[in-house]
Amino acid sequence: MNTSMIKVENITFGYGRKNLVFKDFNLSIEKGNILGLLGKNGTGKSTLLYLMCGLLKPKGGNISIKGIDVNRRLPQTLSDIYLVPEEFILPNLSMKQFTKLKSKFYPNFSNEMLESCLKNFDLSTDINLGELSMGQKKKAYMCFALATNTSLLLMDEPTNGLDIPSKSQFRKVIASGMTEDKTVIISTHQVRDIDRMLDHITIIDGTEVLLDKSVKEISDKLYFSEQGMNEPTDDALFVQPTIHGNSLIMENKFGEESPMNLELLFNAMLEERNKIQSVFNK
Amino acid sequence: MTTNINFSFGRLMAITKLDIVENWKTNLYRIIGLYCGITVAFIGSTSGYQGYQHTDAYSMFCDRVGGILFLMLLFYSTLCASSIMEIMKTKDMRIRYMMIPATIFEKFLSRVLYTTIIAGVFFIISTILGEMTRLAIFPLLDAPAELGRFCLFDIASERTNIINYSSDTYLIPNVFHYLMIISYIVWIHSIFMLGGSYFRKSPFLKTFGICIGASVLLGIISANSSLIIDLLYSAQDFLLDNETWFNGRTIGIYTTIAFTTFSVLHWWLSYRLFKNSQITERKLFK
Repeated sequence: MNTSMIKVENITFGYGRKNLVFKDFNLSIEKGNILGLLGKNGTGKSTLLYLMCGLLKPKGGNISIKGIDVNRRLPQTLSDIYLVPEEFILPNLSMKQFTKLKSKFYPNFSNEMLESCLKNFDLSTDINLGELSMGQKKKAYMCFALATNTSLLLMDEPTNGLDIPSKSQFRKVIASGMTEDKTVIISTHQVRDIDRMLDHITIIDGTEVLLDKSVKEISDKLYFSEQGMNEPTDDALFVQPTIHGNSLIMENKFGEESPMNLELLFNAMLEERNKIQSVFNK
Repeated sequence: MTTNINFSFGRLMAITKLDIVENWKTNLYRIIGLYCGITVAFIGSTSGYQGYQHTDAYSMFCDRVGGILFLMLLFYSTLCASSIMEIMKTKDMRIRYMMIPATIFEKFLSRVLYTTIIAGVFFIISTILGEMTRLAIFPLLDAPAELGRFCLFDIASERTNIINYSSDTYLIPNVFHYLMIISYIVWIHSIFMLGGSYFRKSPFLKTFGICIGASVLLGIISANSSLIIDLLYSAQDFLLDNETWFNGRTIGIYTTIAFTTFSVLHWWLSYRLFKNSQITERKLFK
């Protein structure tokens, strides 16, 4: 059974004629996952999100959501996607007025979910969007986004501007709103903010996909550990020095469980991609 | 809200309402600005003009104010037309508007309604408020007593008489003259709508500049090109010798058709520009 929510097929895109951000780029995303889209600055994470929404038109290739070409910008597609961009403007209205105006466009909008999310973020339903701080605006906007109950929720750097307690609240709110039919794609370089909540990791670097695996597959194949300075690291696929010693990634030969260190994995994919990829290809 | 891919009047109204309510502050400032401008024009036309003492003051007043209001309406309507895509001025605004779950045509039509009918309503409200202000402070103004009555209906009637008089002068039947004038105004409006669809920043100034530049260039070419002058004279002779082609009725019909055709072309181009919009800036002539 085809459970692909999004299909990115042979996408070629660039902002100018010479510098291509993507060339014959392919990606398939299944539903029911919280996917972390990671990459260095300028590698096209936000661009990929915009392409998925139909906000940018590729020079070649096709992107479809539930089988429908996103570039057609049909209401049925747009009402099933919600994008929380990195920067956005909120009108000078109360949350109730804003909800009353915009919820009409989303058939599955839930006021109960909105209230629940606002409560989790310690925000009242009586807030005026124009009077909020930047972090509060972000939280309020994310609550509205979750309340739309769209099948696809895209978030670009959602934890930027959030204080530490809010980042914890964010993880809780996202997790509580997930169902089998929903997909959440979080594009970020703040990997520590979201590593515990992801089901799937996609790391991109320029025009290629470095890694596109579920967290389970990664945990099955790789072993993450911390070692002292003087301990041997010969078998490690990747070693990163830390204050206390070394952080290592090794092949998980014995099927041991280890907490995934997403930042370490990210750095490993950038520096030792062939070694890591060969483990998954076995 | 229906998610069908065909036109939905409910969705159109929802987008228009969203536009009006989200930008309530901007709309309020616009009404206040219009009101202030119109009130100053009304009061300035009422008070202290010595010419009112020597003639039919009320008729003269209506004539003056009608002319000022017409010019203000022309300027305001072209300004509104060029702001058709102000909702897409920045990247954040483009993301917000393009992600609204509606068809591209509904979003475009919503902006057309906003910059024509809604803007028209703002103008009417401001004009009525301006006139009421003028009447409220009339006792303080240095003006003949006959100017102290509600004049907007008489101004509209006076403008209509001017058009009728013009029809008689140029031997163009009334209905075709009205059509000609309306199609000409719509054509001017459509030029600024097209400019507003293309230029994201300072669309009014850029469109106005292009119009002036094109007019000057055309004038220079026409005046200095003997070929064009000869063609114009030949056309004039042909038309004068063939009354079937050159009379008031045909002038009215062909001019209306020409202006309407160009207006439709501009609207289609505006729609195409909007349809092909992306969140990135256009490269040529931002």
